[in-house]
Amino acid sequence: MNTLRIVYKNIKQRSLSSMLTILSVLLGVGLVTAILILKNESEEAFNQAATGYEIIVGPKGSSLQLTLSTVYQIGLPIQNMPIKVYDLLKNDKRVRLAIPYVFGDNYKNFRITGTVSELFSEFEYKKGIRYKIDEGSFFSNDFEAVIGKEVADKTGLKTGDTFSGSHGIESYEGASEHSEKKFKVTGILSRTFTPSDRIIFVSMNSVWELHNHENENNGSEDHHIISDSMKTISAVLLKLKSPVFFDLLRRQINENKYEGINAQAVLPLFEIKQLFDIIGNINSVILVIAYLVIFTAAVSILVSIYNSMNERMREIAIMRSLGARRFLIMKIIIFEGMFLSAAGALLGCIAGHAAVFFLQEKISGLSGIKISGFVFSMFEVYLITGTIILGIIVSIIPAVKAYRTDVSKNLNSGT
Amino acid sequence: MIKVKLIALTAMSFFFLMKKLLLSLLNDKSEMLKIKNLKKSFTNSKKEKFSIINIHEFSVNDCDQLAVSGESGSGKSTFLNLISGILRPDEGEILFGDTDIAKLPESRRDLFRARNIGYIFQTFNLLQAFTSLENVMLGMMFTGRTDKLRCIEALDKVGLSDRLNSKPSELSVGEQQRVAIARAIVNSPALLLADEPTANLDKKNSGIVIDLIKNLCHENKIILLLVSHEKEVVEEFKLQRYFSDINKSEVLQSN
Ligand SMILES: Nc1ncnc2c1ncn2[C@@H]1O[C@H](COP(=O)(O)OP(=O)(O)O)[C@@H](O)[C@H]1O
Ligand SMILES: [Mg+2]
Repeated sequence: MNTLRIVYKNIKQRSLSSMLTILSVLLGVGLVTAILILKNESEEAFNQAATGYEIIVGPKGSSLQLTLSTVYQIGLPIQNMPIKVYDLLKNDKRVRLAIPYVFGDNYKNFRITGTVSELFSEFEYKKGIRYKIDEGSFFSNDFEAVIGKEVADKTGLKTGDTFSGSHGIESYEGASEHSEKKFKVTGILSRTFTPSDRIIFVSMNSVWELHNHENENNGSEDHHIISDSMKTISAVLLKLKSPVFFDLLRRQINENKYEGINAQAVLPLFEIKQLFDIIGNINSVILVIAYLVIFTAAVSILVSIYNSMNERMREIAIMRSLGARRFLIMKIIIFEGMFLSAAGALLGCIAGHAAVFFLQEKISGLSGIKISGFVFSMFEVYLITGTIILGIIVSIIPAVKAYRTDVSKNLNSGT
Repeated sequence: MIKVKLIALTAMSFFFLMKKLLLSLLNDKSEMLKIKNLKKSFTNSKKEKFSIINIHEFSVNDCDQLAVSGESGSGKSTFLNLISGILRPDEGEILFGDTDIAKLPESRRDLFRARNIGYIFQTFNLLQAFTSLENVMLGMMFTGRTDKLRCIEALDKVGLSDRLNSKPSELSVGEQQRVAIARAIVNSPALLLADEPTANLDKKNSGIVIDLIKNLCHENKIILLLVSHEKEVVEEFKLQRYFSDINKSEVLQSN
């Protein structure tokens, strides 16, 4: 028999109230944990995904929209721009690598993106890392496709399989398929843990041709002749030879002083930072609410223990009559508060991670961002410690009541 | 030279020991508990002070079993609470041997009570969340010792060795009272205080409980001080006193 056992017995004796109290702490701590993991991990993942792109050049419009639609396939792309932009940039002395993207239709919600083969041979999506092929080979002809790992996993497409895309960026109920034009899968990319895992890469010609066909489906036979006006692109990804060209090139493009083209150049990392500043503000509001939930939970510990005090006066008096010191009685009550808050905090932390873990499918489905939910941060140690301290602080009030219990009165009240 | 001193010292201490032993043999009814000029008053709800205990002199000898009868409201429970050190008197001495517990600070009184005094109340002696055995172990916990075997033994002595793991709610009132007795004697206290221990029991159980208390106190050489307002209970004891003869407080005794 020791103090902790008494504490345990007391908690077990009022198991329903104890469980509800622990649950309320769990909710608060779980909420804070989940929000923080989501914020930290997604910011990290978003940045990771964008590191390969120094500059994105795209049609004029929202710079954030351009970034999100190009790097993460979130939201709709802005209007297309003429291929001339790509040709000019490719030949610019300051540019080391230019990769065009043209967003076409989709296959089961995975975007079919037209690009050039340099994407596979030269582009580094992370510092020093190029796309690798898991099986098959990169495409060499029109209407051949290289698909991301996620696409392969979700659709079950294998090399050699054929598929036809649906109109639009995302599929919708009743969308018609380009049944006449089928793509053939030539290769599957290794997993990159970036949004590229969710892309179907094809040649630009394939995308243009589909559109050409689409616009002339009144039965014309000149399917394969694509006019220059049809050759449009959605974005160009740029890597420069030196960072010193950054500012000038960006200004030239943005101020319409670049060979007369009408486009914008954005820095994805900057856009992401701005986005997360906004998200950060929303986050702070949610966090404040979550902290309030924890505080409410702490108050519920106080209420739960305090409410039990009246029934416990007699038992406290009995323990005192057996020789228990006032201080020990106080300690028992404080330990109870500590145990309830500690249990809630630890379980809440686990629940927060578990929630993110179970949500990760949904999150990566929405953003192509991979979040594990298993990254623990120092903050959680503070969160748990803080919650336990809070539990101790609130239990001081009933503990003082216990300390002050009039033993003789409570012993005699039974007689 | 040193040798001579040593022998003298040994002889002297031997002599003293023998003297003490002889004295104790001659005077084996030494006064174990002795109370002098004990006064306690309470304030009522109208903030008026009223005296409840005023005892000029009271003592119990080693191995005595004293039953005190008195009306309810006469201050018997208060008297026992003073002796056990739960309450502190306004004035007076409560001597256990040489120790005046009225002078001890509270934490020392608590420890003294844990080690030397067993206490049995009318009802609800037990903690509901704990089994019989755990309740008895709780009685030992505050002395700073743990001896599970001894606790099982104590429960065996009150005939409950088969109910070790029963919660109070699973026991009859008589059985609960027997657990309380086991808990009160488990530390081999010098003194057992029993505050109307049979008030909630039927005749049969009342007899069992009183016999148990008497026998266990006798076997373990524990002084028993029992208070009750029931004549039949007090008449079971050879040593009987009226509380009104002990307590001379002028408080209006109710009923
Ligand atoms: N802590 C206390 N504060 C105020 N009055 C008390 C307190 N304890 C007991 N009393 C009063 O003292 C009187 C004697 O009580 P008690 O010692 O329980 O008598 P008995 O045990 O003989 O019935 C009662 O009137 C009771 O109301
Ligand atoms: Mg009483």
